[in-house]
Amino acid sequence: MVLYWGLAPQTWVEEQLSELKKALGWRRARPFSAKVIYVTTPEADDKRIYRTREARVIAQFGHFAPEPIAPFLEDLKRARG
Amino acid sequence: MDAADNPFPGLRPFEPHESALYFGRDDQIDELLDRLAEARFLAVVGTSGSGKSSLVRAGLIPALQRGHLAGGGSRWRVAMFRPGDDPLGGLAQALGRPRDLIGQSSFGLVEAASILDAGERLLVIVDQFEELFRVRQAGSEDGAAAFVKLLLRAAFEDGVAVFVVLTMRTDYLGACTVFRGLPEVLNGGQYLIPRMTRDQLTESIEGPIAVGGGIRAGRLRGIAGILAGAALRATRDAATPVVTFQELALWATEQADLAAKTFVKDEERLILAELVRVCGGDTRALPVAHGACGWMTVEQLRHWAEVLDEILLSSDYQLRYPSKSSERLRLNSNVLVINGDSYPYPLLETDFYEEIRWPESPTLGLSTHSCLRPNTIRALIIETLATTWGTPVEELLQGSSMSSNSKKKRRVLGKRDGESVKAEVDSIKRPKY
Repeated sequence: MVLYWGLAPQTWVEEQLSELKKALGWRRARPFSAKVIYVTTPEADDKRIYRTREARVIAQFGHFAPEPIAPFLEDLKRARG
Repeated sequence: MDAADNPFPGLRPFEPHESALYFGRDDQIDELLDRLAEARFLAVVGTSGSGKSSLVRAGLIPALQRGHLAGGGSRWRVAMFRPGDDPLGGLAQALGRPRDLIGQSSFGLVEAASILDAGERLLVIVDQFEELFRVRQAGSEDGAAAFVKLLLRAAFEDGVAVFVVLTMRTDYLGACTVFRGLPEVLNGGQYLIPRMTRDQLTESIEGPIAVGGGIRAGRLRGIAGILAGAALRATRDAATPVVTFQELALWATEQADLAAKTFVKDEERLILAELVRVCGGDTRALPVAHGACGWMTVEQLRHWAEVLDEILLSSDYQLRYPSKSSERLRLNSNVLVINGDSYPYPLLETDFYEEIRWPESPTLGLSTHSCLRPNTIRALIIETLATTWGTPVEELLQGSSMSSNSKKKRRVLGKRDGESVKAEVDSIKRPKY
């Protein structure tokens, strides 16, 4: 699961995470094998310091670089066995 | 979320931060969003306890902030309040604006919207709007009318990003005619909360449990279905309408005793007790543990646990069994160890464990338990009493033998209030169930 945080306020991110948590209560629900919040432009103070226990947080405000995504991809590989 | 937390709020409404636990109302939330997409004023009406506040707090607000309103964006400022005795003051406080500024004209709320950032919208929620009629009765007719005018002006002024949502009991709909313009608006923007279907009710029970991690939904599904079905039958028969958590809690309490009789095993009854508890019901009088003395209620078990606690802490027991107190009976994480055999705690109310105050008592999470052994605690009580009083367990289990040890009983129980202990002892001799 990738949550792309661009223009929306932080409350939007929190609500999306809350909905992901709620998804566990749906029938035939399965936990997500990997979760990441991709934080990008526009740059803002709340984005720079944002951390959560619910998912990995990757912040990139400049050009896209693949290296920070690597841990998330590792999570996915591990989940697939 | 802490697994030990009850995932149900009981009689209070769900709050916005509890939206992850709010299930069974998705269709209703969609309906609210559809109506708000058409008009910026909406009255959510329903009978007392029908879930109006929860629907708005844990359903509508999070949906708006997730960006689910077409064209509404995701930047919402929420001002939620109850009218109370001073509706204007409540609104001003919720907005964080001076009361005088808000109340100086019917454009007060429109002007307050000027504080919004670009792309931001203001959601004004007047919860329990019916309180306004109390203000009116108290003689402040002008104040109540001015407040209503303020809301209507903001909701219908062009180019203002203010949405007004109020919740109100249906019995007050007729009274709204006293406010000029309000009935017309209510005719156009109103949502009457419907009863939940069987599937929705089941979802509303199972969902929070699964998310909260309290009890595995799969294990509970069968009994949850039975309870939901029975609740819906009661609703259909209109004997005890059950459409909300509040009503579910009351209904579960009323029905618990009756329902318990259909479950013949202790384990089933304890699951039932758990279900009643998570529904917000009262389990104290529920018979859950069966033995030679008959059924014991949650309340009786709790009392006996207190007695046991005192016995174990008593100098008499410590002197006679200095090593056994630690060897025969000790706590290991969530497991009670008796004579080398491990038993999980029986599932009762959380405060049951708090009351007996075991040393190093773990915080109990329901998910840590894999099975239910109500007889364990009873056996423990009986065994300890037998040991302490020097009475064979077999004799003790025959209720009549209890009186032959009255001196020893008094020696132990004399440390407690005499009357209450006698009542406890009597309760085990003359069980109610």
